[in-house]
Amino acid sequence: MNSLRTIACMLIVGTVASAAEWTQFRGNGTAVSNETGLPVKWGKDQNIRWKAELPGRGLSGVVVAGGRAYVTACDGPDQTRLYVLCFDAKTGTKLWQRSIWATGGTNCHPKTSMAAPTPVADGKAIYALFATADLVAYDTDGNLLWYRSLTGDYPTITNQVGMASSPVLAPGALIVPMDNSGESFLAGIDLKTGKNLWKAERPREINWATPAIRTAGGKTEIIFQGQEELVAYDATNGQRRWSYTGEGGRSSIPSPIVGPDGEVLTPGGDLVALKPAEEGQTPTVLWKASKLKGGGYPTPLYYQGCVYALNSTGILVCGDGKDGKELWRERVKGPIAASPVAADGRIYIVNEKGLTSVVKLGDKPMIEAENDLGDDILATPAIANGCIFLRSDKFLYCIGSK
Amino acid sequence: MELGFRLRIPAIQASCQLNFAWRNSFQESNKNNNLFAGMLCAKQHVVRQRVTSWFDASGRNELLFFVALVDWSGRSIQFVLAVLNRHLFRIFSLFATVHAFDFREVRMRSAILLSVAILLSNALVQAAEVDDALAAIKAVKREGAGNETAAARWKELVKAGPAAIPSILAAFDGADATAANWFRSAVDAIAENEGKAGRKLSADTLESFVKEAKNDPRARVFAFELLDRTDPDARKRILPVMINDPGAGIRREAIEHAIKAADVSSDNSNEKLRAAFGKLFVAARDVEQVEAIAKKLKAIGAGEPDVIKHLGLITRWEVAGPFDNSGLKGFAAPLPKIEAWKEHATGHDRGLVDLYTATGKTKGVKDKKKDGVYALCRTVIESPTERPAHIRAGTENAIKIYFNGQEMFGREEYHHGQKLDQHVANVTLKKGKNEILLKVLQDEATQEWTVDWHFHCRVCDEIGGAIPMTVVTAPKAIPVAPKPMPMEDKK
Repeated sequence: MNSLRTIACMLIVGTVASAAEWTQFRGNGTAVSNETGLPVKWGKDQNIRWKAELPGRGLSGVVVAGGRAYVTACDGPDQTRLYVLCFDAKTGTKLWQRSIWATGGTNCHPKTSMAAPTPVADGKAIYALFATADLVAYDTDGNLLWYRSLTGDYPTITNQVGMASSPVLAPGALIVPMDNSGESFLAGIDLKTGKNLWKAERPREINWATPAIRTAGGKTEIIFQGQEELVAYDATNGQRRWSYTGEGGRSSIPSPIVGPDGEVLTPGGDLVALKPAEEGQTPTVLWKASKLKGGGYPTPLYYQGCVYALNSTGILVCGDGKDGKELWRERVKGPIAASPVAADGRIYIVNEKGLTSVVKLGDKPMIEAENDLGDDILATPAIANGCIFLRSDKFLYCIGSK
Repeated sequence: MELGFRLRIPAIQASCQLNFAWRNSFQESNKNNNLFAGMLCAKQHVVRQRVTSWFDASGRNELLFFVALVDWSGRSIQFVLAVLNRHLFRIFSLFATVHAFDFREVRMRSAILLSVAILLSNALVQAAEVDDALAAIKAVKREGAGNETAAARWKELVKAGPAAIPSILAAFDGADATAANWFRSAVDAIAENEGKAGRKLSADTLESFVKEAKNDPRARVFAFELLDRTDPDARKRILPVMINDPGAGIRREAIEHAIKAADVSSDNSNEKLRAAFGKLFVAARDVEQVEAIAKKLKAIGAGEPDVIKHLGLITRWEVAGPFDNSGLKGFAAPLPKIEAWKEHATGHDRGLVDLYTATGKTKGVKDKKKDGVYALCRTVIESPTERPAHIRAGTENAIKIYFNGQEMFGREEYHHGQKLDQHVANVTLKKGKNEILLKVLQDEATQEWTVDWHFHCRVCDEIGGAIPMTVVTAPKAIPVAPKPMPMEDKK
């Protein structure tokens, strides 16, 4: 029965990212690319198209747009130097590098760093948020477009565990999540000027989840969750449209995702699939799945009709996207901080030691390869331009045939 | 007027009859040069308004003019660029007839002088643009107000190239953190453009800037980073004499360099090492470096240096509490009136005060509950002078810092890590007695990692050095050594 379900899942075509671009945390928010012909096996001396040294640590993912790969990093005493780097995505040539000083606090758990949020690229500019609440935009040539010290603007901002929520792109606005122990908010930021278009108050709680974007009925919503509830905000003005609390609270690390039919999957005590109703109405619960709750850091993945939940120890569980029923489970090598990504019928899971498990999907999952770079990697991979991009604390790797 | 001058520069070249540079001190200029006396007198008040930050009231001030006279339909037009201490502050133009010079004599050299003056004029016009751009960037306000103008001006700074770097570095003086980041990014871009063109930044310019202790500390560290990339040997040249630098960043670099140098020295007998590291301990201000040097001194048989004294850690307190913080209401609650303080001295080697010990409250979770409480901790220090100081505190819990009755700092955050110098309050000590009061809060969370409730606090100068002071609180309290704490795990 499970096999039939799996095959059925595989036949459903989901929404996937543009082939060439990977523009923010988990690509376009789905963590799925329609790239094909990606390498399955690689190693220190195999299928490394290029490798570039980075000036410092980072958990932020690589983003790729317009043939350029961007990444952030930090170093210096107390991680006070914050970097944005731009590389030619084909050759790995460093095109430019800019730096700013941290203006917010830099205390954090040793596992994370000030370069934790993944930046956003839209082909015109790169927008980088750091855990210090420094927010900066450069054009594709490295010209500074605008800069905001959010702790300068809102001095009580603080999360001494280390902030990591990533900004995301909505039509006409950069959406900046800023849940913390001080003044907390979700803001729509003008892409051209860096000024607030709107600013919605949020609970004063630390949170590492990244918002998802959902478009339905001509409206774009920002789906964001913290420890207590998931809220849908109107992307044009930051007004609350609907919310979901559920039982046992929501996850503050794995992020909510949006399925191909506009359903919202929210990690928490269970993974809960919601069918949003009209504005202000309580959403309908489609299903709840305790076995798909994941655990730890990775955000779940919706791919080809199935939901994949991964926990930080390496248990990958596949569930039916229609009802959340478990179809199979597989163990990959952990520990894992990065979220899984998918393309060409495979899921790529990179662990904290730099080993990527390539899981071939099908009637039964098959671990096709375990590719060890022997480098500390906590960042979610990117897939673009026929390559897989991995960033460690020291290097940016472009995995692809030469 | 400045714009008009810039536009006319190319046009006056053919008809220009005289160019010369005139140099004199500011004080002498009014008295001794008739040509400009009237003009200077007329503009003198303007000069004073615009050059406040460039004018050294106590020292020698260099005033430099570049002048172009143009014969235009029988009338002479003067263009004057006035520079005070390398800062362009005014461009004048006025109609006048010049009588004070023999034109025939000057005309012989006019071609050369013209070229020099045009070059200098262009450079100074560019300097004016740079100064305007820097001012526009400094004008950026909160929530991005002024970002559009700043972005346009940022490009002008980058376009001005390496010649603008000294002005940009100088502009850090008085710049807020936002402007400083605009400036830093601009210098990044200039340096990168020069590198791509196969050119290096001027190491001499950067080195001079780093060495000048009056320059902005952030800019000096940044200049050092640039210098290090331009001339990797520079650190060997300049850092050995900078371990007592007044800037925390440069001092940190210098001590880091000295630690490495001492460790690899061929003449590293224990006696010499002890002397070298003893000197570094005295100079060190960065807490990590202080700890590393102390550890090294102990390892080479120099004993355990007094880190508490060196860092200005306070070990003697009066404590009151616990008070109610259920529902986290204690943070905003007004300070209660304290009838009786309890003296407490910590015997922890880094001044950590365990508030369960100090208040007598039972530690831990009971029946799956933990009380939300807070304690007040008071100490009085005596300062021989009025002076600025930092009160630096660390705790994994929420905290407020009061100084002489005023709330100076507050952070409502629980169990998010703890380290020395985590929180800083800027204060001015008055001569005599000063009161420091801490409100340290504990919440009701019951996880194992939420149980700790302690703090440490020190008073120091702005770069972390202990300052002359005497703690007068609890002089007779017997130090209590707390149980092993996270800090001890770090060492």
